[in-house]
Amino acid sequence: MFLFTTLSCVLAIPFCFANLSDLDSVVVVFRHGDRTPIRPYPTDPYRNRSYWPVDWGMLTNIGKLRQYNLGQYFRQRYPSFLPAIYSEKDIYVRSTDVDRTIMSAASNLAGLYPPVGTDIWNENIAWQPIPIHTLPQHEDPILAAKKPCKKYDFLQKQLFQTAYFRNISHVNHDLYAYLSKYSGQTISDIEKLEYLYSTFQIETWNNFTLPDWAKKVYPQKMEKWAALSFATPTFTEDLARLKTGPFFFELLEYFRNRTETPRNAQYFSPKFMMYSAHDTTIASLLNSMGAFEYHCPPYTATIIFELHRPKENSWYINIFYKNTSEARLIKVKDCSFDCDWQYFQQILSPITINTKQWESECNSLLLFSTILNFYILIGALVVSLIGITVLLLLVRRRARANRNLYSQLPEEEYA
Amino acid sequence: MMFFKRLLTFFLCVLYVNAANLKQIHVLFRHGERSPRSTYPKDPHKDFKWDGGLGQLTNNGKLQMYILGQELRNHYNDFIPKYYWPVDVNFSSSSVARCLTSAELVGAGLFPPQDVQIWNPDLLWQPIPIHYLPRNVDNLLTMKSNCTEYDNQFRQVHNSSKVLQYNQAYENLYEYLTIHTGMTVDNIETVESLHNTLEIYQMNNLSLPYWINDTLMAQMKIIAAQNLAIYSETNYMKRMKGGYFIKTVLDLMKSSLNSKKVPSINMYAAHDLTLVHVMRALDLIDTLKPELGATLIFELYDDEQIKVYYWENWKGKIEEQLLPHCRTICRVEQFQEGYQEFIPENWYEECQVKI
Repeated sequence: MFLFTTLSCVLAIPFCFANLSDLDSVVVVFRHGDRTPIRPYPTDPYRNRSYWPVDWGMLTNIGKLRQYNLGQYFRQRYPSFLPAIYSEKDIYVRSTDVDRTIMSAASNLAGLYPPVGTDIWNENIAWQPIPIHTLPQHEDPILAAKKPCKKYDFLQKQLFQTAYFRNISHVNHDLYAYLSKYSGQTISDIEKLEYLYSTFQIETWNNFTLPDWAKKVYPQKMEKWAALSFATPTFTEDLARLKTGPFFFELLEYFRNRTETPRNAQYFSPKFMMYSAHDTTIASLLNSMGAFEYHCPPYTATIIFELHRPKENSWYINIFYKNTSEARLIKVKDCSFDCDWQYFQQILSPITINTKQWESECNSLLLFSTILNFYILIGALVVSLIGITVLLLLVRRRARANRNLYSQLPEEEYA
Repeated sequence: MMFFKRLLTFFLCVLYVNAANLKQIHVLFRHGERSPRSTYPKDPHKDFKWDGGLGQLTNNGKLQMYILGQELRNHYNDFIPKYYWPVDVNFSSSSVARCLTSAELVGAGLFPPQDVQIWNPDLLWQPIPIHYLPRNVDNLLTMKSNCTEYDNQFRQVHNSSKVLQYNQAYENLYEYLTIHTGMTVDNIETVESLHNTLEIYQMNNLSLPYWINDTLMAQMKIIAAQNLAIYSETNYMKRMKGGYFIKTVLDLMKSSLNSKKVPSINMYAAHDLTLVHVMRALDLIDTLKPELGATLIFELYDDEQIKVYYWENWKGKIEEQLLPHCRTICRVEQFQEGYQEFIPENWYEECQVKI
């Protein structure tokens, strides 16, 4: 898989450095840098905190450096486009409200904006403070995509009932049992398998020897399923729309604002938007656009959206995925190099939703359009009609029987 | 006899104080020097180009915040660990950029990376996450979330005899300022914002026009402080603004005493108004215009004692504050009792209650 991506980038080198002279605006979304395991498994020989330099799920020194280098990469990629002097009018930085992503954004900015000229506030430190914006995790349907959504949960449950996923459970029955037995925790689906896989990965990268039972299945027998687990949150168009729709809405709104607002307007949006997020974010965004080659997005994997304006009123989008040292152009449907802006909006429209719509759709389980739900709806209506009739009859009887008492009940006015 | 008894108590106290260990700190500070947020029509420096734009930290302000971090490190060197571990430390900020950057800078001064935490030998800095709430739901630091009854009371205060008296007393001043600034000055809020701007000019050696002198500046500063105070005029208002912050601090203190895993170092980057709100809820001040980088510290000791300090700025001395509604040795329980009236039980419910 990785070989393939590397190869295609080598072949695509002419596209890796597209013409940047007519660049108007850029949106980057990246995964945080190297971290420790989120939670070691119960029988993990390295579950003692003392094996690790930082707490669980935290950014390590290498992770900080990797992000710093990514910041330097952005600086090299956009030397004249993005002024070297920091201004909040040029860049807006957004992160999920998680320590490792906020720290990643901060390290990245240290590489992107080493203070020069009037930005130097202290000769001894080649760093300057830059605000990083967040929304509380459960109030953030846009980047964290963790705000609860009933409809999404329902659809995902349905997905796992399909023959395809039932078959996966069937095929993996023995593997799940094996992993559960030896890891000391229940592994019953590919998502849980992926957590374990990720822990194995991190331990291997840190030169820890895995137990023999793990070596028998890692990585070969697990890799494919771990990679697939990144595609399941956005497996259908409905799921994709509810998972990544609010982000794509924000993205399109941002670019629309860039294409429609006069240059000298007071509230012109910054030309560079930076989003610091997770492997799931990267995979979900790619998969929603139909551009996900099943893999586990590595640390600092980055999606780059570039809006170009070669001439007046003509706008093009280029999208790159950088999971190695070079950014590789990706194709969204039949649109790849210099994708027409109007057409790009059309392509994305089925998976775009604004947060207000998103809220109401997420909370209105009854408004589903599937046939199955139509029957459920009819059934529910019939049942509730019968129920109401019976209730009314009962109440009338009661009321008649207790007419005198009833009028004295103190709670009456609150009924 | 009485004398000996007192002497004995005194020694016991001294012994006791010495025996107790610091357990948790809460450090609330105003951001560093910023560029002006607004100018006035006849402002000679109206078009002065501030690096980084209006309302942002100046380089001087950045340095102030970094030094504040270093000074806090000096002051609490035995208490604050050498390494930065996120479980020990929490940084909260108001949503405003100058507070977010101030928090980052205090963090940089407080936790320069040491040996194993050095990730880049050429850059003795490490990233520290800053957390904040969106402005419309933040009743901790910006203290701007909606509160119906507070808004009612604030309107009442605005039409109260107190504000009327201010306006009468400052009638001549308003007229004077209106003539010279070229904008209508007819309330203390406008005087405060004008004072802010002029003070920043002074600090940046931008000469002030002939019609301003030190006496006038001093008078405007007093008015600025009066304006900051009317936002917490009644006890209910204190309770709903500064009180919420105090409640948050108390809750964290209690968690810490119950051996729950909460950070021992809690940093809060906010505004002059935030400090005034909290200090008025503690009944420490009547009016005050906090300096840039002014800092209020709550300390919790393992014998449940609470101490409060105010630091006008990093150049001055840290001064212990006597809490008027608590005993000299103020324990969490007594604090809670004494300040009952100023601490909300359920903020959201109390906002709906008509008082």
